[in-house]
Amino acid sequence: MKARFFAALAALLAMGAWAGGGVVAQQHPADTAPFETIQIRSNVYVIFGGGANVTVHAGEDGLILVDAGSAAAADRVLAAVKAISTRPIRFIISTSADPDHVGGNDALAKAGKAVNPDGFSEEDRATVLAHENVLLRMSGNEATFPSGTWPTETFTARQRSMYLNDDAVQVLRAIGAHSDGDTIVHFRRADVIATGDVLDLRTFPVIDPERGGSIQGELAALNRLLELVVPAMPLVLKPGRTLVVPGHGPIADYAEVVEYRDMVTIVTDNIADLVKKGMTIEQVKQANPTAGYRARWGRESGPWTTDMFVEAVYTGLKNGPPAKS
Amino acid sequence: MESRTVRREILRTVGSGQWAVGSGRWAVIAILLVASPPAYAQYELTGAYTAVMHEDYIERGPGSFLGDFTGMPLSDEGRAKALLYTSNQPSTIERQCLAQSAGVFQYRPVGMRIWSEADATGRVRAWIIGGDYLRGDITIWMDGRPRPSINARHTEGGFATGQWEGDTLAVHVTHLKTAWIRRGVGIPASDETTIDMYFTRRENLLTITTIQEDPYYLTEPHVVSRIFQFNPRAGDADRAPCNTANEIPSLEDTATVPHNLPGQNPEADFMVRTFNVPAEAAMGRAETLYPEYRRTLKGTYTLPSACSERAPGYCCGWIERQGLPGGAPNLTCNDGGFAELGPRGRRKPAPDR
Repeated sequence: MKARFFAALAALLAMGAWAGGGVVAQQHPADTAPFETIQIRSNVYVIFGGGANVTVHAGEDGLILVDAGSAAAADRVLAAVKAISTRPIRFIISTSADPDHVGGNDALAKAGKAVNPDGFSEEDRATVLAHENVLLRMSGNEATFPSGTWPTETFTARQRSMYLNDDAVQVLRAIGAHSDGDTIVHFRRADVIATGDVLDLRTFPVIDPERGGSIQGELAALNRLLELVVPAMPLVLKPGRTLVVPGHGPIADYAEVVEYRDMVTIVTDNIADLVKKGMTIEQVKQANPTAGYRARWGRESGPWTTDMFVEAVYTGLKNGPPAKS
Repeated sequence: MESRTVRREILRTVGSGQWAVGSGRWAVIAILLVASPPAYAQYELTGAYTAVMHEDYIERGPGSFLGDFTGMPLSDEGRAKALLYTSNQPSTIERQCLAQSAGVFQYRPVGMRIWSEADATGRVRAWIIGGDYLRGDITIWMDGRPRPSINARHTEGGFATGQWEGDTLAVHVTHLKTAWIRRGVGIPASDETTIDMYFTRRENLLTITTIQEDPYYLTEPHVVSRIFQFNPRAGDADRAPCNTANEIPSLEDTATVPHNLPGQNPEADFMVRTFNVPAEAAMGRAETLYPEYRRTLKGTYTLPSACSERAPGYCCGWIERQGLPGGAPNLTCNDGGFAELGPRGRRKPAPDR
């Protein structure tokens, strides 16, 4: 009996040692964000854990959503939206064509009602607004998105502005950063900016050159973001400041954007120095140019690894940014 | 060292004053007090405190030298990030008014104000460690509220909860922003860092012990203990607003981030070439924190011959060298400038005109 007890105890201790040990690859807390809604302003909420972060702006004209989460989480996201307000969803703004941002478009749009109904459709549903490249990506020959998830309204200009819910809403083009369809959404009265995956507080930025992303575009978007986000200054002890909703990760403000911009800039400078010395991509990877940031922002496995980030930066520096479409 | 061991030691040594009695009946009472403090137990912390500058003067006064990571249990990643740092970084417009670490009061010459907020029944709901232009307020919730989720915004002062353990206020802080641990040398902490703080007041002296842990940049808990003195004349500590200025005109609107390239930090060997400090100690390796490490140096370490132009300021610090107040009392220095200083390390007052 005693022997079995100690054997069980030893097993438990071993499990504890395994769970707390440094040899096991560390799981980042942000990778397992719980599903929940957090109110960040009197009329602005963020739904976490259903794919990309979903920002909900509520008011007398209805609801404006930035991103819709994944298809798998659509029912839960819709329930969370209804728990915030019973007013209709008017707009869903898709900040990119990523499945975890647009997968829920169909289910959420169906539950909404456009401000300006589509005269060519028998269905009354919310408008899905995005840069034109998002529609092109989602509706292309090789795309697998159902047509119900596609944007119903697109733009190509530097910005698309609206005045809804007594707020100035600016959808700002930031293409060529994470992908060729990136937008940043600025709620000016609420003083909230939803960044899409230009700012991903889990990892190094996901830059996909195959879909028009580039390190130059990413840095340009982050620096533009710093111009829009206002810190708590000069009264630094007061809570007032611009709030930032990243594509993934916790609510942020100016400080997180500065840290992220600085991190991306420093790693890019490090890689640029190695490129200048004529190193191949394998030599660059071997030199570990992300040292100092790799543990916090990098992943050694999964869909976006540190090596993939280094390759994206290297390619961007060697070839220059992709031509704007 | 395990953080639990450190915490136990702190409570044993600086915690409940009854421990000093040592043995017998009082010790038993002390154990009971520590083990099961009544919910309302607390010690009055309210007041203004100033830093005791003769303690750890260099870190609290002028600050460490670039390339000085002694006493820090840095991981390889922490060391790599620290070596990317240049002192131009906090001079960028973007960073001038960003708060430093919540625990940076251990490394500054500035004091603090502490006050409490009570609920409708008069019970203390929160203790507030007042911040200033470079450090956020730390609100220590005493009402048992739950910790926010990992999706919540991180703040300058973090999310802090406290409880009395004997006469020591034990605090756990999470949800902090990315910040440098010490001033001006680039030793990093991540946004997943946590700090345990212990506030123990005896008469007019307040001992604050901090234990910082970081999953990325520290290999062991980083423990610091400092003393502050109650000072009713300190009034409102420096809570001035912060404004930016164009400190590096060449960087304006360039989106440039100043930093060293890997392997090219010119100060990486400063402590070695200036003070003969072994590289492993200067670079902040955990094994160099402990007394046992001194034995390994026996017979190999040589003191620098003297403070000199090549090793400026280690004795008296740049504050006094600039003729500003704030130098350590009774500190001697032989770099030439100190001869002008008064008996307590202060410059002699100028004669009346």
